[in-house]
Amino acid sequence: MTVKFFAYLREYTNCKIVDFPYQEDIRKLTQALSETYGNRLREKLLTPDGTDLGEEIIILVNGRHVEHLGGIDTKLLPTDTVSIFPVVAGG
Amino acid sequence: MMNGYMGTIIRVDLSKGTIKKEPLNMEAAKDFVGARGLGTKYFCDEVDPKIDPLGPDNNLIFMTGPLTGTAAACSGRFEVVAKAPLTGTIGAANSGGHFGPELKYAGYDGIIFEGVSDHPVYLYINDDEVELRDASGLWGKTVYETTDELNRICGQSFRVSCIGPTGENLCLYAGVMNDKHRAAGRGGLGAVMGSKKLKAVVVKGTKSIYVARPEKFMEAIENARTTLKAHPVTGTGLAAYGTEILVNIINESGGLPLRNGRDGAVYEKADNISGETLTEKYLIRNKGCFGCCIGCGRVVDIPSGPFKSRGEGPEYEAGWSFGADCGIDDLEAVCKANFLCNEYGFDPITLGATIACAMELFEEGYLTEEDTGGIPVRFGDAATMVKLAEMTGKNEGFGKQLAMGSYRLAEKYGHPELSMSVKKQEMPAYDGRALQGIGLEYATSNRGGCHVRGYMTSPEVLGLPVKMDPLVTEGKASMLKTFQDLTALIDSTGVCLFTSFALGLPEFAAQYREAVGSDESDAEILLKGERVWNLEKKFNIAAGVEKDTLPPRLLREQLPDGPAQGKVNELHTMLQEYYQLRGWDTEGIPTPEKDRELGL
Amino acid sequence: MGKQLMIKPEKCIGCRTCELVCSFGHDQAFNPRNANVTVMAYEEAAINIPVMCLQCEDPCCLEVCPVGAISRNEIGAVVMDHAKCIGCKMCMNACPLGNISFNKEKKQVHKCDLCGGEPKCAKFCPTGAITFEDPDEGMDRKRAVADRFKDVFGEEAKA
Repeated sequence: MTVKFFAYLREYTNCKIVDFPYQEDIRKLTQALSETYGNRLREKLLTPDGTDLGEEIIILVNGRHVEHLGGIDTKLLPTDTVSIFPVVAGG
Repeated sequence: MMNGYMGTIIRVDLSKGTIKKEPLNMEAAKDFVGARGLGTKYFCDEVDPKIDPLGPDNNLIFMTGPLTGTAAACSGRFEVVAKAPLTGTIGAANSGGHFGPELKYAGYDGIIFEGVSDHPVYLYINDDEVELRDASGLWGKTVYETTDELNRICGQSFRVSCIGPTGENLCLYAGVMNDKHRAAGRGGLGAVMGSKKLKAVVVKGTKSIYVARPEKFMEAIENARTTLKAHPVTGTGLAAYGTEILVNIINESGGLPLRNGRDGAVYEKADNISGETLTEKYLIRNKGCFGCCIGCGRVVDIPSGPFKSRGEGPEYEAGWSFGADCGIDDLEAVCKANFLCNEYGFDPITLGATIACAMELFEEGYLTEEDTGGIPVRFGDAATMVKLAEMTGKNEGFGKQLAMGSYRLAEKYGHPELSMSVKKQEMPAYDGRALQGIGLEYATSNRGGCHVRGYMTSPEVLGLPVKMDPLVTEGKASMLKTFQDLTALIDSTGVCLFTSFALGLPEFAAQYREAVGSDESDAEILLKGERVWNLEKKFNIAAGVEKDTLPPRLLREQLPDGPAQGKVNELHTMLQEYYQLRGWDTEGIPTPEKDRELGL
Repeated sequence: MGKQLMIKPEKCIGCRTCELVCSFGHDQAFNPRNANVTVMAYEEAAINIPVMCLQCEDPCCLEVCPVGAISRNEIGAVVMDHAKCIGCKMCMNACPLGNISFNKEKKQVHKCDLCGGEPKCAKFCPTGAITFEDPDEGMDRKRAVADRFKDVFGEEAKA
């Protein structure tokens, strides 16, 4: 599956986009990404106890915020694109 | 004064060449706060809504707020108010920089310009010394040249607000430019200034601003600044990447209008014009406005190539208007076009969107090389885009037509539906089909297509302060009303709207209360924002502004791809609910009961 | 050595918050021109430089004052005693750095007094361009160089 990283998350992953091994839901994906890219990414992706998504992260699955899908339990397909942003704003 | 205000207004009659100082109307200041609200109140009390915006009867008002120039977070803001030539609505444009605070240090809350001068002039303010001076030697000069020349003549410590050649040439989206790179940008208030033959205002002040309750005020400020510093957006994100950081997230959300919105709202090359790329390749340094603790300003250098240049910006909106909207992913060209806007003094949102509209008209065959002076105007042509920006800035050739804005251009060539505008002002960088609430915002904005009158992108995409699904219509009218009222309040106090990514009504109300010495509740203070909104609306109704709607493209053409595929904006399901929440009738006219409630 | 104000102009965004909180701390009024710190902006060079008294070890202002109104206090700040000061402005002329100013409203000379030990300019600076620290403890620049050596030759890098 395709995972895209944005803003300063790219400093943690050293890449903008990766073809990542398929994970069946967002919980498994965020855990797997944390293992691959280390603690700095994990601290953004997940709450300290690892049971929920962090407050300073925006995760889109095919452009839809996981909040409006199934949150951390959002199911994934191998063809999905997951875009991960720190909380950002502008205007 | 011991309440955040200076207590004095300068009134300049340009026709007679007279200057008067009068006491600030404190009763109006209590009801309409300052800056946007108070400027609009003064304007509406004195000007007939039906007047010609570029005629002698339009007033031009510069107004600060009670927090402007204090240590309140991001307190560099002031408002320019006039009837807007682009839209015919009330025109109120907010600017940062250092000019507004300096005006207060000179001892004034605002300046009201009436009439028209028979020759170019500038207003010189050095504390108590206020005089009109001849500006014949400055006429025709760019914003940068004018600012440098006035600093040479008057002194380096003067702050300069001026117009560029576009304002002189009555380009309908010329802005009032401050500190070279900051703009009261939208609606064409620079053209109003140009029509009055007023080239600039320079100001230097050495006086103090006092607040009502100094200790409590400092507590409120420290609280606000600490919150801003700790917030990931205002403390980290905006400083690191500027507003251009939005390009990728709006694009991934399927809401970045592509090629005048013709090709949907997903741009495969968006990352090339993103904040990440700008930071990596061209950023030299952050820059803050007066009193800023965010630092979103960008000093940017394009070191070589055809677009070699240096300047400030672009903001996200300009990144989109010259970028995705024109089908262009050359960030150097985007930067260059943006710098030209600062140099010639006009609005990059309307300019980029007008060029994009011309590109669609041309590709459809409605506009030909005969009309454009032999220039093929096609999507994706970065060199042509920059050339057209320069021609418009200089009022040359086809640029003269682009200077009318997209609505008048498209109408002239028989296809007004291809203008992506509301009330003749171009919508900015969020597709109202992918973000339902922002569509409602565009339709109901009191100054036409605009994102800073109730920034629904914040809940719909960014999750601030709550996460709302961009594709649904439920709850949008109610959230928008709150945002519009709060924004009107923030703009009226004299602080930057960006602080609202981290702060809410309690923090703004606390700063206001301790500055002016009020004991009003948060709700009573928010009501002042609603009062401002309704006053603006009533002016527009009296001016005969067209009804609240969106371009047919947003209402009828389904998005072809992306997460919002198949969507149009469902304005009809939101608009009546919005009117009801506002206490307006089904035509969107404030009821007598609402007027009474707000004391209008 | 104790703490002192340190500036890092490369971090300064030119917001002048330091000037505002300084003037307010001393006069309960917002007036950048009465502040003891001034941000000098260089547009072409794209840099802003905060300038303030750095509390000289051998202060000319103190030496030149004809009435002994200037002294060094317990926290190391060179301060003015306005009861003794006659407003002759000799100190303004003597300071080689131009860091003593005159407040037209109060008709008084003024300079940085480190706000009694917690300078507000440093406290409110949003970017860390002004800090109040023990120069021996900070050593930012030295540490930055050392950090690079660590990154290249440290155990973590080898692993």
